[in-house]
Amino acid sequence: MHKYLSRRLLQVIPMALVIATLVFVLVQLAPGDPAARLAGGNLSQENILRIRSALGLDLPPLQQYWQWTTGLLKGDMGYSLITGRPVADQIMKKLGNTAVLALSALGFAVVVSVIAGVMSSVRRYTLVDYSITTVSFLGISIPAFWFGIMLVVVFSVELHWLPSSGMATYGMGFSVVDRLKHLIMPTIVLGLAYTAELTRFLRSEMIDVLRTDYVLVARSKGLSEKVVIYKHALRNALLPYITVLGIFLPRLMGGAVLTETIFAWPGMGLLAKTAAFNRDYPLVTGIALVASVLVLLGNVAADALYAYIDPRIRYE
Amino acid sequence: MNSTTIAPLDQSQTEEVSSRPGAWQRFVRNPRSITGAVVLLVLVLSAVLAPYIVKPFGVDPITVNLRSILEGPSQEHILGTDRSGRDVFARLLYGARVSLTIGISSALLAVTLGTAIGLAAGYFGRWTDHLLMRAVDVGLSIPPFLLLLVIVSLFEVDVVGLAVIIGLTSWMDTARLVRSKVLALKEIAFIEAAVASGLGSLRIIMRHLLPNVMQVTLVAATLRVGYAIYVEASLSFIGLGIQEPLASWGNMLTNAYENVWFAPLLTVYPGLLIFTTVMAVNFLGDGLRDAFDPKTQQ
Repeated sequence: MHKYLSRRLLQVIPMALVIATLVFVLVQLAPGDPAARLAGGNLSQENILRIRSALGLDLPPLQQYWQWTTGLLKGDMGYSLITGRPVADQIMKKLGNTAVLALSALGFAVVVSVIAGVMSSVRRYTLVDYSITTVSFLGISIPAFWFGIMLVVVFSVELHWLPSSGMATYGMGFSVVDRLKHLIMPTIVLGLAYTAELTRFLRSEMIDVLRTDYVLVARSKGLSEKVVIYKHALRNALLPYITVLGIFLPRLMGGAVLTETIFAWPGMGLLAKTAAFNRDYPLVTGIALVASVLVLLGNVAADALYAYIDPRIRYE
Repeated sequence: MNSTTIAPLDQSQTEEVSSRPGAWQRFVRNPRSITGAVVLLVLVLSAVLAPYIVKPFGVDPITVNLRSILEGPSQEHILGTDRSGRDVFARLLYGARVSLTIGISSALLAVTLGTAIGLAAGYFGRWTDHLLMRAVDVGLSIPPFLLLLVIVSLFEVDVVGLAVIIGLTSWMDTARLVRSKVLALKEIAFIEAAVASGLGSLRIIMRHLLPNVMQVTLVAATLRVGYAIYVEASLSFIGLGIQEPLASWGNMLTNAYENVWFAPLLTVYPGLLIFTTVMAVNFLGDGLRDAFDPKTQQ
């Protein structure tokens, strides 16, 4: 198990390098000179040359590539074009805030989808099932950012129940209740599509599992329905569910950009949006790389969880 | 043996696989797929006929009138005006053009690419398959929205550019689906027969494999349209897609959200349209999938 996991973890490095290479090629393909763009046409040729050499843009592409990748391995992702601060530092400052939001949304999605998915499959073709299927279909189609705005319209603009932006009330000391109030709407918005897809998926998995012979055997042994559903059926349905959980991770990262924009949540997504707006490409590429590595690590974690839940799987 | 002797055999085979009896009936009898199709038809028609629809009201999507900003519905402006005094109804109609153009063209691009790559990987196997599938893995581990942010921060994009980059970043799922379908088809005798009869690879792919993966492709294409419309709206919403004065549902939503405390109603329309369109596309896609493959129906 440890051997398998460490091998999987090591595989993350070449994948990350391929992604870094892809990003590097994209940057090279971009029209125009970043130095000139940064100068905005107001600088003399001499100054543009100085910016070029400061950014290392005067080196041949291969040498630039070498510097970029060796830098990445040391955790150096270059400097922001706007603030001049190291990209890695800027990302690290915001990573925690995004982690809070993402984990909260993930937790919401898992809890709600497991409850809804099980209820829907066990009470198949009842009113409960139809309501859950309809709501989850709506959840897949509704644009999350618009849903977020609608929540703001109802709960902030009309009812004044929940704050519409930020992580905490400005000027207020630390308060758990205040933090949670700020977390509610972003969590639901980021977790919504995820919850809906997972519910649909778990429902159909559970329906398949409940038809299998071992569930029939468990029932005929006289086990209580609760034990059959939660110990025998759900545990098996959760295996593919975990894989899907991993597959959806990239979208969670993308969703964070929109959610953080709507709620002015000071995380990595909002940073990426602002950076893209300012055409601060070292910062945007840095965030995309960090997010990709997080996705790769998330998939390793999903595999580990898989082995934990399924006693038949023993990675050698 | 040459291709003439094998022709009758493979024709009957393709026919048997592709013309599943009842697919069309299943599609037409499914109220959801019909609803989706009708809603989409109405949307496409309103987008195409936008100039004629707004004519009787004497409005257009770009005229700014700072004397009548954020007005409520009236005879002239049936859905009111935005913060620059532009007619909201006209902008919604013209926004449909942007959404549908980008949705449909990027879906076509993504699915064409995905199908080509899936066919190549599945048919040639070995290192081609290996290489292409690793490319898919890489593509799937970069959060697509962040990749789009990288691209828009490096390149200038207009409507066409947006369609291209959304298409180029969303072909991976289709490639996977098509590949697995091809692997299944290769187990069926008619492909083996075509190979044995010495047909060229291109001919086998185009004449025998492609028609049989079209169903998968069609469903994927439909669902991609919804995805692309959603992504365009998202990008425009955060100010990195379609730029004003050109109307897009996404940028209308940003515009409205900035005034949400004064005119909350304006945030409802564009979002409702994105929602309706994406839902109609999903209905249609689910309907097609169920029609082609009754096993998925629950």
